[in-house]
Amino acid sequence: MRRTLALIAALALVTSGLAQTPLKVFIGGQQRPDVVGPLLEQFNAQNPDIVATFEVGGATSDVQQQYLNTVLTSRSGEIDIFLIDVVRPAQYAASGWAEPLNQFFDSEAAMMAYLDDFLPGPIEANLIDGTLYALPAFTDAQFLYYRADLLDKYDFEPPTTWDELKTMALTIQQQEGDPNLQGFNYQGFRGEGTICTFLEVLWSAGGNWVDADGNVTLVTPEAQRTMAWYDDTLASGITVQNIAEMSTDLSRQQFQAGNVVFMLNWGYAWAHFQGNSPQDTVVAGKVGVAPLPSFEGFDSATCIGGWQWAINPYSENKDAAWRVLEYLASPTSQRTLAVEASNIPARESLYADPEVLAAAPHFGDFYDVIVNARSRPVTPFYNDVSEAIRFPMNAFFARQLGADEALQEMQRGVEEALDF
Amino acid sequence: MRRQRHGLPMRIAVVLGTALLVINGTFPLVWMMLTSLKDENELIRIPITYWPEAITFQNYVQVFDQLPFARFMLNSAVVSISATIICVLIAALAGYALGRLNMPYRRALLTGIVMTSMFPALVLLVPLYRMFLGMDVPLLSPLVAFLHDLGMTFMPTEVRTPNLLNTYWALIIPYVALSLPIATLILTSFFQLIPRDLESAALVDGCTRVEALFKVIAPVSAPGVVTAAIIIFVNSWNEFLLALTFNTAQSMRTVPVGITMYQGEFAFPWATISAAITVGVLPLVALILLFQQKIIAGLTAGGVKG
Amino acid sequence: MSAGAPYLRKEGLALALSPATSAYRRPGLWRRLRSGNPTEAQLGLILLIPAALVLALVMFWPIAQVLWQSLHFERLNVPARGRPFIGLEHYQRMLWGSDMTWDVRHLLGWRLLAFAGAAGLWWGAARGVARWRTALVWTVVALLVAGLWMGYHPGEAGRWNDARFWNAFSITLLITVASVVGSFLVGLPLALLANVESRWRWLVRIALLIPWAMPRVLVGVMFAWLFNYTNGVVNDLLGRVGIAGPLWLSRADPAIWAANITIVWATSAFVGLILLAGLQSIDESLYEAAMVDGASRLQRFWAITLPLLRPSIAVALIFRTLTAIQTFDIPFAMTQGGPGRALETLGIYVSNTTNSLNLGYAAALAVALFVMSLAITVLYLRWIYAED
Repeated sequence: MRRTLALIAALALVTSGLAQTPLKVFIGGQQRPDVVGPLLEQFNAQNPDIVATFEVGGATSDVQQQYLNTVLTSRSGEIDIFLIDVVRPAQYAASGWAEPLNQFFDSEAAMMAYLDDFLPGPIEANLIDGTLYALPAFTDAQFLYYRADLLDKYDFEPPTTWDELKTMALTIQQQEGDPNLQGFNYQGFRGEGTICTFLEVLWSAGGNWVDADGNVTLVTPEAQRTMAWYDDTLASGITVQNIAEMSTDLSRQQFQAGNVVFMLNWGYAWAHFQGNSPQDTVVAGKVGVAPLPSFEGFDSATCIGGWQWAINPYSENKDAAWRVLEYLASPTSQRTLAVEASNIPARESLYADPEVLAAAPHFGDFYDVIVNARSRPVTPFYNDVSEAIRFPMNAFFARQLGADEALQEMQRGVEEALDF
Repeated sequence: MRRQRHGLPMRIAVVLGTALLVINGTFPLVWMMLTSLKDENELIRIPITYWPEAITFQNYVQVFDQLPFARFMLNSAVVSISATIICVLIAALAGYALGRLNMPYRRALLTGIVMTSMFPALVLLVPLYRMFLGMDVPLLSPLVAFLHDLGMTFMPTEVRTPNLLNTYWALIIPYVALSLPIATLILTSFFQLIPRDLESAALVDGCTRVEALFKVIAPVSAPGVVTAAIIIFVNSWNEFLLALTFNTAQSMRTVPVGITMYQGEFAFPWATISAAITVGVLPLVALILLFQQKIIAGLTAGGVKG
Repeated sequence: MSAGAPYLRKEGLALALSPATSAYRRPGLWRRLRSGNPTEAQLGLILLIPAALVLALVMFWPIAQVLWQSLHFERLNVPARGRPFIGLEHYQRMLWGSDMTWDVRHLLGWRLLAFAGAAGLWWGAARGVARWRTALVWTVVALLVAGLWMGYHPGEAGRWNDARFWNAFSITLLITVASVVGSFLVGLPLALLANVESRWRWLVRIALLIPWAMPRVLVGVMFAWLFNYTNGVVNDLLGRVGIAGPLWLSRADPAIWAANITIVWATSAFVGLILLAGLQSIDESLYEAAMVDGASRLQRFWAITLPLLRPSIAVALIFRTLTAIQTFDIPFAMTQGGPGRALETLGIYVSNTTNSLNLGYAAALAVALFVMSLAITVLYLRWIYAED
């Protein structure tokens, strides 16, 4: 009996000496827990006083957001670090849901030097009024995917203007004679992707949703030009009539089955097209990637994507969490994510990294597009603004609203959303 | 049970109706099963194919390989069965009270019980989450703190509910509460149907109340109890929101949440998910079917009526 | 009931059931409990304690919070404004508009319908079919709601404060009526068929249960795939028969059909199950007696089956309606509430509002749902327990 007690006492002493800080990292099912897991294990090995484990959430942005909303509204410290979408930091900053990271740097200058290696796009989303709220895990953007084999067949170069795209698409459709071949596919569903569908063309017409003074500018000639373009895609037949139900993955699947010539979609599609996909691919080796076209005389533009690491302000182990964050945002970790999970790196230096380029040579092509990616509206009311833009857009695609009506509704909706 | 002689037109109508309704009910599941036997690439073909070109069980292997699906099923089973048993007992007591006893304000009490189903689970999510996270008990905590300050230092400084997240109780307790209204209503209406003479006859024959309950009332109310149990079980099994939010550890996930975890941000591996759904649903259906048959068989064998 | 038998007196309840003699004063509750002789009402209250306890502990606190929250302004992404108490301002925003005018011709059809209902009830009361009190209550309701309130609408320069709410309200109403009626139309024959003694009974029972045994979220996604314009089974089958399949989920009207079909498919099993249980409780001898009397199948159905099914129908009706009012999963999984706003139900609107971190307004919307559900439930329960 006494020996057991002594053993227990010894154990208690030993374990109390090795007081380990448990940390929980929350990632979504689609963010490759199989890659992040080993990263955390490496961290644990290098830092014996911290035990970082991860929790896998639902597989879509909506579901994860739902969960994080619940946890953070309840002011719970159950999770210490989480991944948030690139559009969220402003909202989290306003709600006090992301711990400001400035405190972990020695000085303002040190922080800016640290951030220098990252791409400007993600940093723009995470650095709000001089305060850093999150560190990029990886980035993303919408690309113009095209059937290189079909373009070669008709001696076309990737289009630089929207009109060129339409002409090429029409020609290819007519010449191929396949009734199932779509000329131009994009997202028109009610979900988040559709705001990019609208903004990218708006930007490429030289417009923006807001002007320099902060006035909402959605009923402008540029906006009307955007709507006229989309109307044209439907009228000319290069786009299918059921575009209002076209979700991101539906687009991807249709291109992968060989039924689409030009498509707007995110970076994840590339891996699928080359064969790393549950569905079979018909287009492996035949896919080209290009920046989005624009209107004559204007620059191409694309929407930024990607996810960011943030610290829960209600966490009880913020300093330990910072160390994990630093590790996850380090070039080594990002290189692992790029090589093994095909996540597009958020650090500039990795685009010149031989290991990364060997594993994903297309990142070189991606770079030109990514470096110019623009943020979706950076506002604490992102949810409302996004809904205000994409719901009328979806209604327009569903032929419930005319172009002008849709723009009016967008204008009104965004103004109301920001009117606080 | 009676065996009626149906006329021919009636028989045709019955057979046709049965066929239509069976197709209506089973077609999507059959479609799911066929999909789960196909290779993924077949699914996006135009024109679509119905019968798989090459039957493969790869998807089923994938289901158990990719995620601990068996564990999900165990969790769902434990939670649903526990919730069913507890809820049926409580609802039976309440149903008996409201259905057979001469209670005042019966309608108001029933309305009150049903009222709790009138709120969407989404708005109740945050308060429930806080409760299961562990919070100060509203009246007890300040009282105990006050006593502590008065000098009774053996009293704790606060009374908190325990952190029940990621345990079975975090789901069992809300599921009992969520299914209680419908179970109570069903059992109330069934207990009402039982004629009073049945009970009094048994009592006159020399049974005690308890014996009467088991020998007379229970068998007759069997359809109601079975129905209530099935409803509670299926409601608990399929519940999504609370299961997603409260039990987030991989080892504690339930089946509906587990099924959605095969999908990627944008990608939906249909074949795998179809296999997962089939695996998740068939045991449920088999169990219910078996259960229902046995009770109905017991009912007819007992010959309690008349 | 003989009051003399000693074993009956021990049961106590027999005492309560027997006619009380005027000279005997009933003991109080404690006395009764201690001696094991509670009255029916007291026993009933005791039996209700577990249910009340569970509901009070688990649901009371969250519901109270929601009610309280709906009276406050709270937007988590505007923490500077704090959480002020604003009373019924949310409701005013939800239900009212700017520049409101009153017009006799606005929503005339609905209002006339309400008054016609009132007139019908008065006539029924005069004939002895309905009760005077019901007619009176309905007339008051019709005057207030249909006569007064429904005439208000935003004038030329004004608009509804929350047009989105009214849209969601009408969509929810449409889905509720359509899917409740639909699920009964499908559920009742299902139950009747499942009750018929036949070799295939087990198959019908499986067909009855499967749609409901599938998780709601996945039913939505599955049917979205089935209704897909290019790859969907529905359009494929229609095409083989020579009909051009509509743009199911890309146009408003087909989408409403698609959503309702899906909801009916998923929930008719629930209705069928409850009705089946009710059918199984009906005494065989009643049918035999009716057959002896020469009643036809249809007559037997109307005179015996339906009336005896009334309690089951009522239960199924109540819960089917409550669930329908809160519809979220299926329209959201199919089109996230689109196309446009065609499938944005109140449940989806609440979800969007919560995601926008506008907690006060979301709570107010939930309370609106609650009030609607309560009104309907009270009406239903009055109907079942009309004898009370």
